[in-house]
Amino acid sequence: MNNEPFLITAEMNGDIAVLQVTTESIDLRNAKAAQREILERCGTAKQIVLDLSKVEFIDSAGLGTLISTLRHFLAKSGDMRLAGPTVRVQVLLEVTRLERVFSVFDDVSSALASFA
Amino acid sequence: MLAACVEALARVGGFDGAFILRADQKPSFQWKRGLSDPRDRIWLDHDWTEISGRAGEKDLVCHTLSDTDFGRTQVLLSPVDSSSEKNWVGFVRHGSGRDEDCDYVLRSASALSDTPVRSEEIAAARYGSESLNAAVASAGLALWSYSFGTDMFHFESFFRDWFVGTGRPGWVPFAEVYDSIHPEDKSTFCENFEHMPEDADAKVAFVARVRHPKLGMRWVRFLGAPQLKTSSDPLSANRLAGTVQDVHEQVRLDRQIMEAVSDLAESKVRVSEVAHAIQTNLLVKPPPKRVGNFYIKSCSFPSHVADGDFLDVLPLGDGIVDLVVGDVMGKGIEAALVSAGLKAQVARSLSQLAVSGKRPEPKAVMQAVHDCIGGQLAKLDSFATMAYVRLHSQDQTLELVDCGHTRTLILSPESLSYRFVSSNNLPLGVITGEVYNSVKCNLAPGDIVVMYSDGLLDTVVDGERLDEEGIAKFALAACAGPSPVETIVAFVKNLHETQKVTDDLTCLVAEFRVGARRIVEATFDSDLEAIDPLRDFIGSAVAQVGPDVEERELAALEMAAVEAFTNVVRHAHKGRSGQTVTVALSRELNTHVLRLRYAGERFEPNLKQLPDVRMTLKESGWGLQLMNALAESIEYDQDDRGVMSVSITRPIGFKAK
Repeated sequence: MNNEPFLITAEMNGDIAVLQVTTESIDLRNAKAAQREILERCGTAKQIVLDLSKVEFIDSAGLGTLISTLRHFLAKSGDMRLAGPTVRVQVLLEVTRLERVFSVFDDVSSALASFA
Repeated sequence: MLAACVEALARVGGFDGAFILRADQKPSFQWKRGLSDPRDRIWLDHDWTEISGRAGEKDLVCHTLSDTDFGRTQVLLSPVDSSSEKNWVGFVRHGSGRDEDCDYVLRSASALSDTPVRSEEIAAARYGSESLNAAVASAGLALWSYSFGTDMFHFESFFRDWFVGTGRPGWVPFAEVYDSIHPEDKSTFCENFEHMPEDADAKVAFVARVRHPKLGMRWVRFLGAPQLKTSSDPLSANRLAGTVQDVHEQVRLDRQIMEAVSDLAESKVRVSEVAHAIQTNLLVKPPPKRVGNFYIKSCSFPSHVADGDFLDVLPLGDGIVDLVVGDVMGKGIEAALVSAGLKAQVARSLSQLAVSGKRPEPKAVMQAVHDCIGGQLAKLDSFATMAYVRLHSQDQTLELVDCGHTRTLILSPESLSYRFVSSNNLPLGVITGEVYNSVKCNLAPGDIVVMYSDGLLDTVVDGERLDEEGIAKFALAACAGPSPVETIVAFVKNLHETQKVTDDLTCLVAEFRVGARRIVEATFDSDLEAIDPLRDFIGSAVAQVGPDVEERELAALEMAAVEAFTNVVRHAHKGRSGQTVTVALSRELNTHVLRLRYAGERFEPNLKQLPDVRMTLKESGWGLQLMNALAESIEYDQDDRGVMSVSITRPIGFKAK
């Protein structure tokens, strides 16, 4: 059930980890792998920008992953920004009224700037 | 009887404060003190001077009492001659005031003959005669008084025995009474004797526990009123006086009665709750949301726990559905019982008439209901209004039998207009021989039928009563949105929750959704790997069933489809291989209907009681939240062959709940 790969690239911008999800969909098939991968790639960083510009679809399980990741960083006195959500991801956040819970930015540079 | 002779004696010179009079049955005199002459002077009244043989002698005594204070109340004088003790006289000094004209301070005084006995006589006269006391005692009461001047109680009858007192029968210091009061009642007790009420009409009424010398604490009820000091009565004082009653047994019985009343009230509440549960759960099976081309939604809110409004949705097959909204006169459980019976009678009449194999006309159904139950309603001094509507998908018609009910509203969003229909019949149970007629009219695609009870008309919104036109205009405005049926029902629900509504509120709305309906369907393996093909299918199907929609709308449909699909895979099929799910997408006018059919275990979550995972930011539980927010309605069903289905209806542009 959870064998779908979750592809991600990571780079550090100062103390901030910038992760780009390259898998098109975050759903029930890869949600657990997604969370594990994100946390591993962040290392010791407390601040993270998650680039969702290539993600076409997120279901409720994928949404749970985003929430879990946000809570992880908040617990470490860090924070997470979402960057470049596609229309489908925007609709998901609006419908669930979580756009106010996540800090959402049009692109990575805006998200990075918000940490300044 | 005292001796007739009166002798006033004064020890002039070397006066030590004692003042001795011998008096008869009417001893009274004035006592004046001149402001310029500090000596007190005593004038006997006419009768006394005659008796004393000292007629004309006004200045009976002149002596210096200027610094002598006899106190404010009774001054008891020491007997000089013990052999004639009973004839020695005390006097009571009452009242004072400056007489400007004669430059005197006036004091009236009454001499008390035979002081000990006389004081008792006076007390008896003041607090009640012997016969009065006997009468009061026979009622289980005792007289009491409390003087603010002396801080003493005076008790009569049985209550005297409760206290040691001062040695003078019935006289008890406040402190002694206070000591005998139960600690929890002391504050109540003190409040009543804190100060003399200024209002002569004030009442004393309280219950306190008082220690009985043998029986322990007893409940006692004090009732009384103030007796204000008057200038005309030298013996008057600021007192509280009244009756006292040992009500220990009465209080116990009262408590039993109160407990019984409380039990009765609780029982009534339980009965009401059961009636409410029956009315809302047992008698009202959730009406189907879709029948033929009609999308139906309803609500009903009783003004009491249970009430006389009712509604019913009766699918008759072939895209025909009968809608019923009724209102039984009266409120509460009685009205609810009648409404339950009436509702059952409607269904019974319909089924009885359908036995012939022919679908009965609405007016025949109503006539049968009236003929059967009308007389019984009259015997119960009740009646009922009802609107019985038949909607016909194929004929595109509405037929109405209106039994004195509020007029049925038909909205036409296409032309932004509305109209009312009515057949002008009397309510059920008013006239035995009433013949019921129907009216018929055409429906256009998109028309919305609104039936409601008169409680809606009595509702005040923004200070104005909501009349027929107001309801129609609001409903028509709702048609501009993506989900008018939902909006209208939500409006009524909001009225119930926010306005002071005194009557039941019931509303039944049906939208006629007919158009060039196209359905596209595909079957998928019950496997999460089908998520991507399913999304592709939704994108393709949306393009096939109607004009293009925005990407946001497509995204919403994809999300709804994926959530419903994964629920089936996980909960109905539990990951078992070899299962399939058929997904169909259709579009009628501006509404998409997504329907998933599958064999497997029944899975029907309660979408009305979803936990608010947003508030707690939980990681799980978002699937049903998401579906619920994306859809105007979600219906689970199972057909005769056991095939399960979930239908998700979403008007284009539907906003999340």
